[in-house]
Amino acid sequence: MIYASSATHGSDAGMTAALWPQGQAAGFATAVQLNPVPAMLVGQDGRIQMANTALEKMFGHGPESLAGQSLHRLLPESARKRHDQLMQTYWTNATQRDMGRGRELFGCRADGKLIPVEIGLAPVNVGDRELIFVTVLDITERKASEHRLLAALDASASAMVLLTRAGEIELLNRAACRILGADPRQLIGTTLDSHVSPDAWTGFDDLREIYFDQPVPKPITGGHVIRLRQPSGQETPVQISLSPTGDDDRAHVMATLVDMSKSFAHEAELKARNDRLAALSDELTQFAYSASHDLRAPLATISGLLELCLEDFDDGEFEECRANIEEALQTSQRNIRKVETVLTLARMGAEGTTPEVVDLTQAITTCWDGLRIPRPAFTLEIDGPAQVLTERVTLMTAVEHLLTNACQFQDPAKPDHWVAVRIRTHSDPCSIAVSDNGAGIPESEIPRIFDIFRRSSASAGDGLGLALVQKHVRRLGGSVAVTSCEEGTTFILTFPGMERRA
Amino acid sequence: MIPTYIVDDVHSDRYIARRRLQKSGAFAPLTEATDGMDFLARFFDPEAPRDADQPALILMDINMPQLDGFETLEALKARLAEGDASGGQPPVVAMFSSSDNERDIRRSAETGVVEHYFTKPIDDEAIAIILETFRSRGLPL
Repeated sequence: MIYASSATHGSDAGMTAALWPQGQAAGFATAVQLNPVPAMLVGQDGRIQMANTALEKMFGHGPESLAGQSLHRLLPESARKRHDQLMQTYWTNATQRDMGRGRELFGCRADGKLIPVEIGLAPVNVGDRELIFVTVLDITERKASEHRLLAALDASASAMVLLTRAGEIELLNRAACRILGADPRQLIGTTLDSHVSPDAWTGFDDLREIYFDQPVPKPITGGHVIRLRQPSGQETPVQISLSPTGDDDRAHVMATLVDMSKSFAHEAELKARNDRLAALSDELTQFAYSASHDLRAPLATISGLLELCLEDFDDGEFEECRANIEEALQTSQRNIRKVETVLTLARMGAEGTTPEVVDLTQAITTCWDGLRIPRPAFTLEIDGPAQVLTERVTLMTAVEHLLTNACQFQDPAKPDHWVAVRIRTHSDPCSIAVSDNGAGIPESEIPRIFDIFRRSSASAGDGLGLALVQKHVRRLGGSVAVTSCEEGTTFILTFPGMERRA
Repeated sequence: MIPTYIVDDVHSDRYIARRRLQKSGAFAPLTEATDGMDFLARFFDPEAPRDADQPALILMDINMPQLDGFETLEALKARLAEGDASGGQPPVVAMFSSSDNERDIRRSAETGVVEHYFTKPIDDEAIAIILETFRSRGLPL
């Protein structure tokens, strides 16, 4: 008799008697048999030396029917080959360990039904033989609970990760998988810390330790946002809250990850919108201020002139009276055009024109030829065919203003006068530079030249031209820069997003 | 007579101011400047005739190219503080602008030198107020 449990298995003891010597080995076998946990002893050849009653029952086999059988009897067919390889590997370094960490293991019952199991391995010496003491736990119930828990977690919109005290992921829902960019098989068993972006906040590990000393639900990141990195390198900003779960022995922590991407994107969009509104508001304030001066100014002038006319008329000063009426008339005519330009300026941004393919060389040459003012020498330099997709009228209005200014602010002290345009469309960004060798703009004036109604003392204009240029160029997603010295002035229009067309 | 500077870039506005001031008969000589730089050059011109007891009147426009009215007054204050020769008595400064917006009225008060703020066109009532300022201080007219 070997088995202490021979009372249970009675007459079958004969077979095992052949396999098992008396003495110490018998005592060991008795211990295995008495073990309430399903257990067996397995030889290096993969054959079951003995199995206890609990294991036999679990797998639906008759008493002692497993002794001498291959382990394959307990394995699903699909796992047998891989298991043989694993067993060989195990024997090269046989140590106590648990199997199945991070992946699901199944045993196969006699009736073919699969049971989820957790397996413990320990090498033992029985007599002069090296065996493995194998415990097999049926985790069907636990798996069912986990599935119920997972289903509940999956139903949550938040990403949830169940962590062990060591910070390893034991369970996580779909939302968490999405954030971490991998499937549960790849993630379970890894630490959450290993998914924290290395160049982001790295104190998560320390805070988790502190948390275990005082486990109460709290936002661990304290409102801070940490970035989790996916295997692909994509990062997601999250806020993490921790809640304790389980008892002291199996202390776990449930980490809730709140994906802040959308919130951040929303905030960024709101900020961009606020910035645009603030810019518009500033522009409107500036416009109202300028309008209060510059649109009222001609009316005040006309009013003052007409008052003097009346007085001159009463005094019989008809010549003076006539001169002032003419002056008032000219002022009003000048300002009809000015009001129209102001309205164009105010409407800019609200309305655009449909982008079309514009040959810049042709358009600028035509524009130059069409200027109805005295023109100096002109050169046009290009770095290749210059066809772009843009709003023709918007762009060419800006260029026309710059060409007109370049013609008007020539320096009479210089013997030769010229205007040069340089087009760059074959390097990023596209740019159009309008240069002249004119009188230049005083340095103190440069910061204000684009202000509405700001005009040069040498200009007979209404101070709207460069404001209009800037607004047109900005509408096309570009910017205007200016450099000026005594040798002349260059305006450079730069369009980072402008599309080239063949 | 009060020596007067009319500082304005718009020819018609200088003309209207000149005519109004001439009609009152209390302002002479009348010097016109087309912008802030021009005014500073004329005001601090060492060749200009001056009366040490007679403060000048400056009618200053706000919106002008190059130096605007406020910038011109800052330059004026700085040069007066340096003791730049301009005649004894500090001038009486009146802004005259096409707009009566709050921002400009407040900025004028903040300069510390502007005594009056008038909107264009300048009229007899404004001139009467200026004269009253000179009278109430016992300054010569």
